[in-house]
This record gives sequence, C-alpha cells and structure tokens, in this order.
Amino acid sequence: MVAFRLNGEDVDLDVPNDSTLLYVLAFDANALGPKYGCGKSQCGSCTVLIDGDPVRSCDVTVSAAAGRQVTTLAGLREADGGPGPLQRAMIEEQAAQCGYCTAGAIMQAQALLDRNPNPTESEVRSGLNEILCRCGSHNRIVRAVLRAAEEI
Amino acid sequence: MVAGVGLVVWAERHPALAPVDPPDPDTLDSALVEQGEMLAAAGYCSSCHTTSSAEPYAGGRPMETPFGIVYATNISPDPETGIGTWSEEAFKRAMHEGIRDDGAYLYPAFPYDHFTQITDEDISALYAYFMAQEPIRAETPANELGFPFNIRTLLAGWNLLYFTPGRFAPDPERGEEWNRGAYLVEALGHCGACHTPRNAFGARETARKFEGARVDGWYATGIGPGSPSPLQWSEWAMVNYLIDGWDRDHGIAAGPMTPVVNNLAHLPEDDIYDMAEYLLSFQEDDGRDHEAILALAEEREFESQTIPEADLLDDPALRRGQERFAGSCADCHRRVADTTPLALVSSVTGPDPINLINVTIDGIRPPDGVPDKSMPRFTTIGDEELRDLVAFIRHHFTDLPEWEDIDEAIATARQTFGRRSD
Amino acid sequence: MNKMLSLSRRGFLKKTGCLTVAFSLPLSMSADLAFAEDALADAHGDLRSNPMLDAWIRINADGTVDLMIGKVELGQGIVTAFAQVAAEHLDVDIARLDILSGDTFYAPDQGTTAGSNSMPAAYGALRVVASEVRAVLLDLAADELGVPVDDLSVEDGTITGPNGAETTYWDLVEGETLHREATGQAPLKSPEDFRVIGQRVPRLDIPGMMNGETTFLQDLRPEGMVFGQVVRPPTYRARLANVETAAAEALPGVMAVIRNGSFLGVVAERQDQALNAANVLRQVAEWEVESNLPGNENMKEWLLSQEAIVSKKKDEPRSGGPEPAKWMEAEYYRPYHMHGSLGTSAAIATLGDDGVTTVQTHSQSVYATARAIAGMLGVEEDQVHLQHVQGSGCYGHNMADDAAADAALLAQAVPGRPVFMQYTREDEHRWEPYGSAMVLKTRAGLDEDGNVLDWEFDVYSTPHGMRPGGNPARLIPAQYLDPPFDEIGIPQQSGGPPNYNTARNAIADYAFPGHVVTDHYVPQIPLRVSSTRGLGAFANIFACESFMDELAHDAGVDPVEYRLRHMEDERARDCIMAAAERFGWDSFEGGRNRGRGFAFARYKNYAAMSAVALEVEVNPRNGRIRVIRAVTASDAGEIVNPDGLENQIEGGLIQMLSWTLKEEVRFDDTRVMSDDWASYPILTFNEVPPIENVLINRPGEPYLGAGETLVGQAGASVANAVFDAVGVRMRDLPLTPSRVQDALRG
Ligand code: FES
Ligand code: FES
Repeated sequence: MVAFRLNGEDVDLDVPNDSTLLYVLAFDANALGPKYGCGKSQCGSCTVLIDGDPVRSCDVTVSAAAGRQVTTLAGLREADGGPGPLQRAMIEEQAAQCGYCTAGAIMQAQALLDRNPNPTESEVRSGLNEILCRCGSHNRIVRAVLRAAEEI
Repeated sequence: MVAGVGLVVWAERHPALAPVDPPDPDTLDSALVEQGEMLAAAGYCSSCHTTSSAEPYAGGRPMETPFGIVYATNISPDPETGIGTWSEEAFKRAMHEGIRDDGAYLYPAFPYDHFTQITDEDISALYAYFMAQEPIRAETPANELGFPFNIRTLLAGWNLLYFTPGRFAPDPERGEEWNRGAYLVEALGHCGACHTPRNAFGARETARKFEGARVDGWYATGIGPGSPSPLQWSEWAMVNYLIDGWDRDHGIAAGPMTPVVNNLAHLPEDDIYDMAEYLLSFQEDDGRDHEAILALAEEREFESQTIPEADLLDDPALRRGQERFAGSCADCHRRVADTTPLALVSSVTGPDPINLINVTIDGIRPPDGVPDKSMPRFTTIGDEELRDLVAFIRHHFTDLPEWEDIDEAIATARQTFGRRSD
Repeated sequence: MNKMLSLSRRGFLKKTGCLTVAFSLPLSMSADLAFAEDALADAHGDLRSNPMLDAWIRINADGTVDLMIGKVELGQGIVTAFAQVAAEHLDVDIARLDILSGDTFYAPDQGTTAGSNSMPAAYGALRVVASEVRAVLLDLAADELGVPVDDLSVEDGTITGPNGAETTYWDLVEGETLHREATGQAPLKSPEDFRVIGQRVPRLDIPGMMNGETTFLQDLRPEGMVFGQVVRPPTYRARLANVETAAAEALPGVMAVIRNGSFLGVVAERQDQALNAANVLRQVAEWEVESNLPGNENMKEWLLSQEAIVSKKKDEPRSGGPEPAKWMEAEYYRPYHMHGSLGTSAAIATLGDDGVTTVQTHSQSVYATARAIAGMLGVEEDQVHLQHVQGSGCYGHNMADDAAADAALLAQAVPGRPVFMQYTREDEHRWEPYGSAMVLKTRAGLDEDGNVLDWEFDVYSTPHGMRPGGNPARLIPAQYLDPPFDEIGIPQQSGGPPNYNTARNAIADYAFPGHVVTDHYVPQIPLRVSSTRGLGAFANIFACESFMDELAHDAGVDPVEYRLRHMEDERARDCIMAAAERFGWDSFEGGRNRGRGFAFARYKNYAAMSAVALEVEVNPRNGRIRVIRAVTASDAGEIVNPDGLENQIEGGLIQMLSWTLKEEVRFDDTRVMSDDWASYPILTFNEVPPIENVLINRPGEPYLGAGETLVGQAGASVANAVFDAVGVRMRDLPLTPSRVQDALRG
C-alpha cells in the first residue's frame, strides 16, 4: 500500500512498494502525461513533480512519493479543467510535433518557473537541457515557456 | 581574542565618504567600461552579486559562512539600494580596504583581502563598468549573523590580524606570463577565497594555500600540491577546465564553480593560459604513470547495468549501494558512454564526500562551454540509500580510505538544497 | 476532445466490398492542380481502390462529420491538414469533423504514410471526394428547396437558397445517400476561394497532449490490460540454444513465458513484473552468437570493398567540347544513423473471441503490416485488424511494425487480454532499422573560370527501404520463430526514378554540361536498415553541396553566386536568393573562428526545396562547433498550413543538425554498442540555434510535402561554415569535437 497526493487528491494504492513510480502513475493511478522514453533518467519524458521538484519517475520507486505531493499534467490545469498558463502557452506556440516529449518538458519547465519566474532564454534552455526532444520542437517549447513566464 | 578586538575598536575609525550623483552612463569611457567588463568576469563578481540574471548585480544571494548567512549586496548603480552614489574613491576604498562608503566595515565574505591587490587602473575600469550597468532597485536582505559576529566594528580587529593591504607585486624571478597569471588568480580571481582553508576566525590559512576547503555547502577542491586528482593536471587540461568547465581527464565543474568558469570563458584565452601556468606552479610532477591510472580507471568502469552474480559485494550496505549504482548511475557512468571515468574525478577521490552528494541530489547544470553535459537531479533518493551509494562509489572507484563523515555531509546537502533556488 | 482516437465510437461502417468498379480519374482534377508525378499516381490509386464516397466521409444526423483516411498522424500534423482539406471542400467547420485514420477495417487503404507524399496524394483524393459529397448534397438541397443548384450557398453545412430557405447537410443525408461511387465530375473549389487551406490552423491533437488527455497509444488503458516484454538475442543472428524458463515463470505476476524457436517473451500482470521476468530470462538464456560485423570504424573501407550492383542513375556525359582545365575530387562519409524516436515503439494486441487479433499500433503502414502479421501468425488477412493510434515521432520505418508483431505474438498466449508491449530503450536502440552508412565520391572537371563542365557522382550504400510490405520476414520476431521466416528479401536494385532510394538526390539539381551519376549498391545488411528520413538524400545532398562549396572556394567565387551560376530553375534560384537575403549573406562579417555556410536542394529533384544559410563558431581549442543561427527558405508549392510547414522544416533542420554534429551508431564485430542516449547522444536544448524560416508560397501550384524538404542541407551548410570559419574541410560525419580537433591538427 502506498499513499500520496496526486494532483491535489489523495490516492491510496495497493501496489508493491518497489514498483516503479512511472508505471504506478501511468497504469494504476491513470495519470496521463509521464511517459516511458528510456527508463534511465536520460530523456526526461517521464518527469513529474514531487513536492515541486522535477523527478524522473522511471528511475525511482513509488515509495519515493509516499506521503508526498505528486504533480502531473493534470495538476497544472485550471480549476475548470482547462489548460493552465504553461499548457496554454504550449498550445498557443504549437510547441510539438509528435509531442511525446512535451509532458516531461512541461513539468520540468514548471519547476523552473516556480524557482525562477522570470527566466532568460538561456536559463530556459539550460533548465530544459536534460529533456530530450527528437522532433526538433526545441525552439517552440522555449518560446512557450518564455510566453508563460510573461503571462504568469 | 575578544580583548584584542576591544582594543582595536577603540583604535580604528573610518570616515564616511561624500555621496556623489551617479555618473551619466553616456559620459563613461566605453573602452574603460569594456575593460571593466572583462575584469568583472575575471573576478566573477556576478556569481555572488547576481541572483537572477534578469537583475544583474542586484545582490541578494545568501552565502553560508560558519558565522551565519551573509547576503551579497546590490552593486548596481541604484542610488538608494545599490552603489549609485559611491564615488570612485569610495569604491576603491571598499575594494582595497574593505570599508563601505559610510565608513563601516565590510565582511570578509567580500574578498577585499584579494581585491586589495588589484591595480588602481583596473579599479577605475571596474568602477566605470559597474556605473554603466542598469540601476536596479533591490534592498539587500539583512545578514543573519549571531552575536558577536553581527558587530561590524569587530572586523577592525580581524583586519589587523589577518588583512594585509597592498597592491600586487610581480615576482621578478618569474616570467611575465606567470606574473600575469598570479595577478589574475590572486587579485581578481580570488581563487584562494574558496580553495584555501580558513581558520576559526574565517581567515585564510596562508600556510595551507590551495589545500581545499568546505565553503558554502561545497568542497572547494585542493588545487595545490595535494590536489586529489588522480591524473596530474596538464596545462591543457587546466585551460579546458577553466574555460569549458570540463576536461576529459578530470570531469565537470559543478556548484559554485559553474558561474566561475562561465565568467572565465569571457577572458582572453591567453589570460587563462597564464592562470593555468601560475596554478600549476603549485603542483609538482611526481612522475605518476598516467597510462596506468587511465587503464585502472577504465577497468573500474561498469560494463553494463547488470552486475554478474559473482561480482556482488558481501557487505550489505556496499551491496545496496552497488545495486543502486547499477540501477541508476551505470546507465550513463559506464564504459561505452561519453563520460569521464568516476575513478578520475575529484568528487570521488577527494577527502570530502559533499560534492558527490550534492550532485547526486541536485544534478549538474552544464557550464556554457559544454552545453550538452548535464546530469539530472536524484532529489528523491533517501538518506540511507544515498549513504550506501556514496560509500559504494568511494569503495569501488578508489583504493582510498572510506569517508568518515557521510551523514554530516548528507545533512548539510539537504540543508543546501532545501533552501537553494536556481 | 481528441480527434484522432475514434476507435470505439459510433460505428464507423465496415468497409464495403465493392472495390472493383473501374474508376477513371477526371481530367478536371489535374487541370487546375498539376500534381507531382508520384503524387498524382497515388491519388489515382487511392481513389481507384476506395471509390465509395462513404468510405471517406459520412455525414451524421447529429451534425458531425466522420472523416476516414488511410494516412496517419506521425507528429507531422497531417491529420489537421486533412481536416483542413475536407472542411474547405465540404464547407463545414473543422470542429465538426471526427477523424478516423489508419484503420485496416474501417478506413480506406491509402498505403504507407511516408516520403512526404502523403499530403499531395491524399489532398487530391480527399479533395475530389469532399467536393463530390458537397455536390451530392447540394443537388438534394436544390430538389428540396426547389431552386437551382447554382443559387445555393453553403456555410458550415447549412445550405441557403436565394429566398432565405435553409436546410442542412445533416437533414439531407439519410441511409445510403453517400454510399455511391465518386464520379470525379464535381466542380472543385478554386484556390482563390480557400478559407481554411493556407491558414495557420492549430493542430487538433495538441491541446489534448498538453493537457494530459488520452492522445498516444501509450495512453490507452483497455479493460484487463496486461504487460508483455520480449527478450531479444544479444546479436542479430544469434540462436537460442537453451533457456530454463522455470525461474521466470515462478516470479510474481507472470502469466506466460513464451518460447518459440529463438523468440522469447513474457506476459505479466504488471509492467514491472514483465520487465523483471524479461531480465531474469535474459540472464539464463544461452545463445549461440556470431561475430561478423565490420565495426563502425571500418565501415567506410567495408562499403568500398564489397561487391556492388552498379547502375547509372544519370548518364549524360558531355560529348565533345574543350577538355577541362582541371579536375577536383573528394570523398564523403555518412555513418549509420538512428531514427531514435523519443518514445520507444509500443503496441497493444488482443486476441478476440472471434479469432481476430486487434492491434493498436503507431505503424506508418497499417495495411501492409496487417498482412505481414497475418502471415506471421498463419491466419487469414481478415483475422488481423490494425488500428493506428499516435505514438512517438516517426521519421521513417522505425520499430512500430515490429512492436505490433511482437504484441500480436504475445497476445496469442493470453486470449481475451489486451497485451501492452513497449520496448525498452536498449531494445529500440539496438534493433531499430537504421539509416544506411554511405560513401560518396565526387569528381568534377572545371573550365578556366572554375565552372563545372563534367560532374561525376558515385554512391556506395547498403539498402534503405526495407519496410515489411506484406512480408513477415521483415518483422523482427518472425525471424526468430520456429520455423523462421527468413526470406528477408534484400532488394536487388537500389530504387529507380522518380524517387530513387540510395541515389535519392544523387543527381544534382544543377545544370552541368556533363552529368554522370553511378550507384554502387551493396545488397547486404550487416546492420539492420530501412527508410530513415530522406533515405539516401541526406548523404547525397551533404556530399553534393559540400563539393559545390569546395569548387566555389577553389574558383574564388562566392558559394551562393557559384550555385546561382549553375542553377537554371527559377524557383530554385528564388529560394536560394531568399535564404541568402534573409541571412544577410552579402553583408556577413565573420570574425575569428566564425563562418557562414550555405546549401540548397530540391528533395527528390522534383518535390519541395529548401536553402539553408547558417553561421557557426568553431572553437579550435576544444573542437566544438556551435551553430549560432540558421535561416531556411523553402518552396513547397501551395501552402496548406504555414505553421505546420514551418514546424516540419525547423524540426527537420534540428534533427539533421543533430545527425551532422553528434550521431553515429557505434558497433564492434559482434554487437551494437549505441544502446541508449548516453552512448548515442543527440542535440540538446542548449545546442539548438535560433532559426528563422522563410516560406515561399506558390498559390495554385501543387503542394509538395514538407517532412523531408530539408535533409542534407543541414550537413553541408555546417561543414561549409566550418571551412569558412577555420579553413578545414570536414568530409566525414559526424563533426564531433575530436574529429574537428584532429582535422585542425592536420
Ligand atoms: S523515461 Fe525517465 S528519463 Fe527517460
Ligand atoms: S515533439 Fe517529438 S520528441 Fe519532442
């Protein structure tokens, strides 16, 4: 049994303690967003926030989340379910091709904006540097983060 | 000591220097400003005085000292919260003597004990550069120092005991390059401010120059004769490291060293070569066998993420660390990957585990010179796991004695990243 | 709302059987829309095999419109572009469309989504169908309202007569209204009247993916889903000698361990359990391993020394005329590259009560792959149902088809349970079909002024296109079954006109007096290869455009000027000049270690074209190349969606910069060593330069596709800029720091 808060709601899951957090989120808690890309903390597509820190959910067990606040894409939405500021900026900038990287990029960027609400372009790039994108959507994602920073 | 200080309080007083109108940036000599910019980079003023790059030199960055927290001040030319009303003379006095415009003492967290060696011309250039910056209104937070360290006048005593004012004097025995390097390292670069250990009163122990020291939650590695780098530093490697923040044989800069190398990258390459020459003159070539060291380092690298049954360690703690390493670290720290062997990096071979712990928890943001070399945070790792992991890394990659104080270092690191914002 | 996931909604009609009626494409279609040759052929084909209007479009009583297409979303925004075309020609709002794409039972077979020809082809077919549906409905409306068709106007599906009387599409349609063959006779809207095509229509799938709604195959959670993993051999041709499965079978959650020949897999209740069991199997399996790979270090020599099938792709030597004043020659190399999709390939397969295996897949070629999987399973074709759902980005033939096949095999062991199977990163990196390594030799005879008289270009390459088609042997798991499907069928020719294959873009776009292109095709696959972004085009353009730069420098002529001297095509000239102008080519001031580079190509010699101008800084101390900024100028004909086009061009440039600067599949004599992102690094956010894109719109001209507009131009422009910056010519990719350092040290 593992209990934590997921996007503001309590969850209590009957899963082995050593389950990978990513799979628990994806398949037990049905949190869409974090995705398997490498399972090795190399690509960032599985990134979620734990107590506000960006964490590669592929590389930690669910026990790392026990009693903590886990945030995925759904947790960034507005109260009415509509996209939150960063998500809106990503949509406005059409910041995706396949979009597989974007869930992780958004979470990483959210953590960056939480720490540094007014980042420069190079700080955004550096902050996202551990997130890989294969399609070449980098510049759009950077623009989206800067746009979100302006709007927040 | 307290008695001594009392005596000096009585003895020393400094006048306030009259405020001036901030100079009109357009009237500043642009060549001088440009030179100042380079010097500010060489002194990496921004690493302490800039908290957010959106507000350069607005101060506010906390500096952890054994006596409490000192906040870097606003040195933008804002007349009220910055140094806009400082005359050049006041600026020079602060740099050379550690005295504020109003006559109060500055804390030696500001390295005036190094800056005192800066030439008058360079001070003028720095003054011009700072006055040419955007004034930013930002109140510097009050220092969090306990009694008696919160009493600035006591610093008069400190100065008397530990501070030697005076300009840099070249060593006539040495060449021009070495002397230029010495000036950059000692006066502007204030490398010793971090890399030389300090005594109980926060003063550099000159006898232990460049031996390495814990500072602001990191271990400033020894860069003198006892440098823990397994491979002898070559000039080439040192130059790469100082400019790029990375060298194949020594690995990557992290923590407070990152802004330093990012600043040094703006200096002419010749200056960096001179710095390297000077720094290397403290290290002796002891004839170690590089090939053998490299081969051994390679051999210790993991082949894959799976540990063969036979290689599992008996000691349960080490074995837990070994398994964690295989699971999370060996993905990138293994032979076929493009990473410096862990057996070669000073965070593993040094006397203090804190750097290794810090980068494990907080990852590595790449220096500008090697923009693709980063490491993600492993924030969620538990203290026990971390202890086992760190102990295993030390055990596996070196033949050095195990670290004694891992728990203390972990606690310190937790504190650092609990409050650190980047 | 997600527009691409209409899997189980309101019954999409099962495709009806009457597909054999002769269909002749009306001339009117090509009259105002001159297709590129292969696109036209595809549009013909698409309509001929799917002539019924309601195979493409259905109008529903609730005011929605179902659009069924055989092309699939691969991250290129194609479904949105289709929606634009349909909305435009039907005159309905794009929001009314529900789109089903790439479903082998319920959407028309439009073949593979590849080669940047998806849009041109489907644009034609869909345009005809949508226009005709509109015409049918207008006829009905004319009857109902009692007014002539010409007096009717349509606005978002509401038809209004001159007297203000109204009806709507959804009121008019009932039953079999649209179950009729397209005649191709309906009038087509003219481009001047377009309201949706050519607009920056936002992608329909983007809000869902940003918001964390079901978008990807990896997001599907069918009831009762279980998890599969496969255990691949350590090397391509290894055979499973022995495996003790008991230990794995005893692990918690393990439902089945499957061994068939050298195929080894496992199904478990949870993903962790499946991965765990696969690891245990990996450790106990004993394989017979062979060592016969050339090794990446030796690949160049290997390619040049193999027996090759030699053919001339262009054979127009100069006859007569003066002898060249001088000859120049050079040799270029491109290593194996990966697709490296960010998400590993995945599939969900379910063996139903009816014996039908249904597979959700992100394959580019659902129709052909369904046939191959049926062949592998030994069942009838209608026993395999493939449904396309978006996956991670696709830049050619990656492992999506293999994943579908693996999942289908595993699903046979647990009837009724949907088996989710996603490869590990290591499996994907080591087993995906790479882009072939290639050697290019160039030689030019020049006149007194350094202009080209004779151009000779020789291509050395292993195969490129190795899609499954209907052939099970091209699906990885099938090769390991007992008995194995081992007729891989390495093609014995390297691809002919107009697309070519190894020789794609080996023919230069320039008008050289003498022009000979020879293909040396090596029909072997030491490493598994298949279609990877641009096939041979990347390397051929890299070589051709690097060599043009070498010739220009040798002649002492500005490289842009030199290109223009040899370029006759007006659109190509416009494109070259547009890039040069936006970049500020003529006013460029380099500075120490800084340089500018230029390259141009027209994809396949007839499709979309792009010119690239960029600036680099080379650090001679550490050998690092930094791309400071880049400008592209592209002409893709009439633009359907400028934002989508720009996205594709920019993405292409970034990926190709990554290939150019960093990527090479490393392997020794036994195995591939590049098995993750640490051993196969790609470009990161910090390394991506700012990019400006100039789009040259050509209203009324055929749309030429976008996905591969820009391929080898990236490689050549960087190498050319490096030469400009530090005076060394880099001819072997990738341009890693150590290569640059070596070159600088001579
Ligand atoms: S899947 Fe977690 S970092 Fe790649
Ligand atoms: S958009 Fe495809 S990986 Fe980033």
